[in-house]
Amino acid sequence: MPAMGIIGVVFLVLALVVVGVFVFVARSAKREEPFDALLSEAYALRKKFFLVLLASLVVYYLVSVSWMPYPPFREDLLRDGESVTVSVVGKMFYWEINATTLPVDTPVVFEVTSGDVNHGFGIYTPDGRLVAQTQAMPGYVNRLIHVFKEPGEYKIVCLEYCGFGHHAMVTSIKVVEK
Amino acid sequence: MKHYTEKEELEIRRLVSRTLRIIFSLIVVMAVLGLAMRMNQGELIQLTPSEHYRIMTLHGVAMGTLVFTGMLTACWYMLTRHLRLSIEIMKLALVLYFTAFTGIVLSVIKGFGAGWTFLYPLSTLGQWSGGTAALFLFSVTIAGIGYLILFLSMLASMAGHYGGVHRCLGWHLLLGEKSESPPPIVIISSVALVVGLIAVLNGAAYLILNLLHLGNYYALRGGLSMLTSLGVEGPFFPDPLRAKNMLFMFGHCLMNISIFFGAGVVYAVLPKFTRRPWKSNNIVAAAWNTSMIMVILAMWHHLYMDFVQPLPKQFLGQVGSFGAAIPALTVTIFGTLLQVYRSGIKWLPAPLFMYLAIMAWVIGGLAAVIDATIGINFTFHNTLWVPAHFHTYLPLGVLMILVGFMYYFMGEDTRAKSYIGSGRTGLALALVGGYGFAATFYLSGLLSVPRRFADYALFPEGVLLAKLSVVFILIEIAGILLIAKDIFSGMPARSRPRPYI
Repeated sequence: MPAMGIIGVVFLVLALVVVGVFVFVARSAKREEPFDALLSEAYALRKKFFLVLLASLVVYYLVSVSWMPYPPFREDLLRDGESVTVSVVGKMFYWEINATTLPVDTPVVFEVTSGDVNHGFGIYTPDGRLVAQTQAMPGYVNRLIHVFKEPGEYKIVCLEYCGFGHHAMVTSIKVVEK
Repeated sequence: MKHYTEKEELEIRRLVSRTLRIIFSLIVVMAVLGLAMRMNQGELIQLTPSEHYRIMTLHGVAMGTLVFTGMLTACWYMLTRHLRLSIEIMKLALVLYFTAFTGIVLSVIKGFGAGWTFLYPLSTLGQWSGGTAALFLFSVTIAGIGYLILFLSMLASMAGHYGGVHRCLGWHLLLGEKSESPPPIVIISSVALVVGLIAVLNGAAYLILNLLHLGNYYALRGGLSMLTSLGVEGPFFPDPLRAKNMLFMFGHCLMNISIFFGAGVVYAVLPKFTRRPWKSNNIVAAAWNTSMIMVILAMWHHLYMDFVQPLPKQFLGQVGSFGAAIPALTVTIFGTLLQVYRSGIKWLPAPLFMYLAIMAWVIGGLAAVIDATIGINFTFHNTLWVPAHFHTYLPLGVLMILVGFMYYFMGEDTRAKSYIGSGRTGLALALVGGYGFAATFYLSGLLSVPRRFADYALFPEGVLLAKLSVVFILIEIAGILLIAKDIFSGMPARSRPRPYI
């Protein structure tokens, strides 16, 4: 999936284009032209705009399928046989994780659930960036398949509001060389 | 054709004016509570976690419902220019809403703090008493009953006037009939009301589920099972995934239709200033009926991170989220631009606020489409990117449409449509403050700073950006206060009309 920086730049550029269009149209309003004279050109432009927008969104949708985080899209990571399964239970306001030292460059299957209310299982890199998450829900087990690329101390942060101790529901896991 | 007597017209004006003044005042109070949260996150003041999360709960529920009720009221007023709607039902819905609002405030003061989502089963299991949770849940139910009665009444009136709900939705136009009736605001309102009915019914089911769980939990603690006496064995534990689907069908849809009502008002008001027609046709009908379907499908994007949700729903969530952008951009937003382009419009406050609001809707929508991409949501969900996008299209979008409507409404009464006083500076401040504030949220989201956090000890960038956001929020609130001064001055008829630009 695209890096955060790229997403930020794309958003900024698109937002500036929107502002530019609105400013351009607002400035054009100083002049007055009969509405009927504009219509045929405007409708032709709208048709083109519709087709370009539709095509762009379809292409973007198809590209985005390759970024899917769901287990069926990541099962191939487990084919080599070498993987680690970790059980995670979120409780108000702590995590029960049965393995807190994990190998680098190895698929890890987190089986995430909750012992009480909804929590969010978020994995933060040592430099504080969110790299993966899934919900911890009572009565369900969400499977999150993740490969740690770098060794270090990763933070597990609760990302679903779960009560007054929510922000303190943090723990660490250590990722080490094999 | 007049639909009301002179006395009734006066009653309508009083009702709308008073309601919007109260709503606008409460929005300012809630903005100050938002400021308090950001000050706490920026370590400029110290709130206890309980205080922070209770404020967060009130801010979320109140802002969402205030903006929704305000926009609904504005749209209701514009509809009364076309047909007769029940004033008594509107009054009843508003009385129920403000009663509910009072109950919600009391429950939060008493300790309730489960967030606007009160995600099942948090209402029952949180660190507050069962009584405060019950008060909160009952209050939201009361507001929902008011909305339900009003939605049904409005739809029935419109169907009676235009010859059926299908005609209100513009389906006859889709079937090739050439007609300019009903006007776009009726088609848009009907779409919004159908979505609203689905939302409110889901909300009612979700609230009952929460109330049953709460009641049974405390009954079990007291040694008896409320539900066993009804023949249900064991603890009452509904499916949390189904509950979450119900919640978002409720909350997501209500928030989105507040934009729909806003768009309806823009369709009705903007042409009065551009002096160009904006009529119903098959394209407008197709766009809004598509929006109706897409906005419902899009609600599943709230559950992307629930990996056990069936994959088709996840894929459809992304289809709905992307698909909702197409009719909005190609018909409503394109239509707004076409209304203005080389129109010779005088930028009086009403059209200016509305035009800028539509721009904010597009920018917030762009951010929403980005976040509604499943692969991106994987690292954006529940970061500050999420409040960033709705703090773009709510305060800078829907609220600005409401402000534009208030200028229009007040001016309509006093024939001083072009009056603007302190609102001139107010608008500039609200824009600088609003976009600056939203930018701090967007940046925080890109830096993975989580939302709904009382303490950013782990996130130094979060603290810094929260501090910066305080400056922008102060500017934004100053702007809103200046706008309020303008609107609340009542637009005296003696005010000399002068254009804004």
